[in-house]
Amino acid sequence: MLTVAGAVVRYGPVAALNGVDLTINAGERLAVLGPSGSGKTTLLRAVAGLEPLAAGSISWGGRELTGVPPQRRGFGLMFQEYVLFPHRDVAGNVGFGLRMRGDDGDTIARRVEEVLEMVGLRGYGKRRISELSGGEQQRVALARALAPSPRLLMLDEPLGALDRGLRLRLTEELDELFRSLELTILYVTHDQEEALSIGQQVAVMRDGVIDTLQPAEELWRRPATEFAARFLGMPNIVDAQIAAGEATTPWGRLPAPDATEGRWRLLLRPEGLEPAPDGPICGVVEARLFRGQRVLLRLAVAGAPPLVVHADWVSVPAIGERLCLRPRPGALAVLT
Amino acid sequence: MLVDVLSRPFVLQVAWFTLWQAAASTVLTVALALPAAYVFARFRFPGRRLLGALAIVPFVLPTVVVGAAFLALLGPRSPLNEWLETNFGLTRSPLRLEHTIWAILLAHVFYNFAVVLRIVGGVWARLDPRMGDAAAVLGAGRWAGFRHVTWPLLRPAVASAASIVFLFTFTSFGVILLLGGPRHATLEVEIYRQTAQLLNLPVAATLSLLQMTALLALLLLYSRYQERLAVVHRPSPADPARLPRGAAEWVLVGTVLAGTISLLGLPLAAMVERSLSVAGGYGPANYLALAGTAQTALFVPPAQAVVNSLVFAALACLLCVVMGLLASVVISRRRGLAGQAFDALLMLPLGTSAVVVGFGFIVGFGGLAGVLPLDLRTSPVLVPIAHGLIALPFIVRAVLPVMRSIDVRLREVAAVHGAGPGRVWREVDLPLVGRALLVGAGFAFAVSLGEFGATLFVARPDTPTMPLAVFRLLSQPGALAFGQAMAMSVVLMVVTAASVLVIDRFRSGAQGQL
Repeated sequence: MLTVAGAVVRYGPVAALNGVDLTINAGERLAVLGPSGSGKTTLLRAVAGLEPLAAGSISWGGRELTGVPPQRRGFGLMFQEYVLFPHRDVAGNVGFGLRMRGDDGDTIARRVEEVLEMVGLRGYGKRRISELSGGEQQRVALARALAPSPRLLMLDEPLGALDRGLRLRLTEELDELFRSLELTILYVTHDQEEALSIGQQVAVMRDGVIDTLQPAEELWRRPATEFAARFLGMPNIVDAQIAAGEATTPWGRLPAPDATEGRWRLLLRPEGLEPAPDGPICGVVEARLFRGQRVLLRLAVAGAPPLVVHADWVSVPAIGERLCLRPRPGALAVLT
Repeated sequence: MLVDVLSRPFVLQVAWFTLWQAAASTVLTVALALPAAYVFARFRFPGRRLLGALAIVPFVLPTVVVGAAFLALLGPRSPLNEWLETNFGLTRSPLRLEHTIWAILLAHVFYNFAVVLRIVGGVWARLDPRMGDAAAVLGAGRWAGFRHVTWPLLRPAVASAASIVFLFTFTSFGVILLLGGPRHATLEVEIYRQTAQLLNLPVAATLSLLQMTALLALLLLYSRYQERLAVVHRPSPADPARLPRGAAEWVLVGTVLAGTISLLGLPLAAMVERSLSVAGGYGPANYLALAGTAQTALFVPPAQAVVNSLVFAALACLLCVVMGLLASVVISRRRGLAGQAFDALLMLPLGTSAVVVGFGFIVGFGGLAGVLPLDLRTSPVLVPIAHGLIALPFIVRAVLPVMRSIDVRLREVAAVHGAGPGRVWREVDLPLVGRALLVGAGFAFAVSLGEFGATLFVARPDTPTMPLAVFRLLSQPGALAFGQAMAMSVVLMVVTAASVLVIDRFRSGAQGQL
């Protein structure tokens, strides 16, 4: 079990990590999501032992790791942009950790074959790194990190450099691999779909601290903070007064049957709205972006902030047209 | 004749000495400069940029200045000796290194330190530090990480720097002539002695052939080895240097920097100190003597040597710019075998040595004496011609890549807008190449200012250059001549350093290969 408590990493006067707390149980998968510069990579480097902590602690199974150099931690790290060794062939890269451990040649060769097979690169051992495509390099980097069977596998934007189609396919493959090997995973990405599909738990990072840490589905349904909601692409957040099963918002009075009474920050999910001539929210379409499966609308509502709507219904009005909407069940979420 | 000369024992001895002193100098230079390359590539510390720029200075200094500086530091008139004598009442100078192999090796390290620092340090700084991190995460400790990852990636750069140092020290002339004394002779020095002192031209010619063959073999070997060692790696984008962490790293950085500063600074400091030292204290007397007309070891007032050097350098520079520009145009327009052959031909002066060039000039123009209208051997024009020839490869290397990189469509645009071929060249090519041309010209100027080997052969006694003046003054006995030699060396150092600094300012925007 990995425990990070109050971890602080400073680069000169800048604190890249500013008091991070998190726990990952053995066999659990945690995805860390956040904008660039939020400290995700630094968190991985600190756990790997590549950055010294200015304060706080990192421990594994109750054993404090401060002062333990990276080569003795038994963690695996797949670097962003892979950082493969250009002077060694594929097998030389994948077997590197085993060689450092002092395994004998036959054991290394067998394990390298096994891991290459696992990532779908059977027979690639003799290839040079410069001959590989981006996707193949990604697999070699994964195989290199997997080969020594690390007790914790960390991945830093492993799919970041690949095109969208490949990324979707590989997300699926990674998920399958992690599950079948029952690996303990710390997975860093700026892509919400990746984070939600890989992580059982998802932590959202912001300016060197963990903003929220929730189970993936809960994070999507009811993000705990405004920052997390906005980062997940849900910008409709306002102050609202809730009383008698109804929320009074600048957009109008909306039904809120289960909410506690009082003044709250309220999220109105963009995909949770449907057209209704007598709906409580009415406005004029100000911007319209066709995205294939759905159409993104920005609705100007008098006396209220503009409302972002992900329209998945059949006929979507054009710019300048008037539109009335009503929330579907579950469209409202109270933030803390 | 050839076999007869080559089988003489002294030739073998000279060849052997040339080889092993070059090997020893190379090993020593690499060993001493590698830690400095590491510190400069990986750590940030106050004065890093300034020190990095100053570390280049020894490399651009004329060989006679290097020789003079080490004579000042290690010779009988060293400030160290003076101090030891006065404080311990010794009558003989205790420190006598000036005719030993150690003086030669140290001077070679001083001279070539920057080659290793720049080449290896440059590659080291661009090595992604995460390579080492990746190795560490996979279980490699510091030493294993260096051995299995950093060193293999660095090796081509080290090999390349070492080959260059070997080449330079193999053809070392001025340093060995000044510091080696009568017992140490490389092929270069021996060619000079056979020509100038023993007047044995056939032996000198044979030695020159031997020297050229050896150099060509070395160059071939170098280019073969270069290709075999090349490793493709993506350089890391940002400067990976960081402040040292913890006492151990600060001590490492401090020690390496202190060592580097003393190695590169002490000889020059000693030279400046000696140049200012006069009987009973310090004063500008040595410099004033240079300006005066008082009788010296030279046939002319020393100030005349400064004027000669500047005039020769300007002429060589002009010659070089015109020739280099014409040659670059021809090579860049003519692809295929003819262009390649011409390109290779122009690089030949790099593959020979200055002494061989000088020797070739007097032998060659001697043979032409009856044919040409004037005897070039006795004409001072020979000096800038020789300097121009030696500097030509530099200017072509600076200009050619820029010229080749000019987008053809730019010329086409100019033509479409009504410019004829000559006008196109003036409006497009010349402005784009201008900066590189200036850099090349600056190099030619600096090369000419410091050139010693060839000048020793071709200059007339009454038109000495600054390096020749230093050499002649140092050959004279007496404190007066020594002090003036030191002063002249300082002047030469300042002029060279100034011209190199000016080049460096232009260079930042130019894209040549120098």
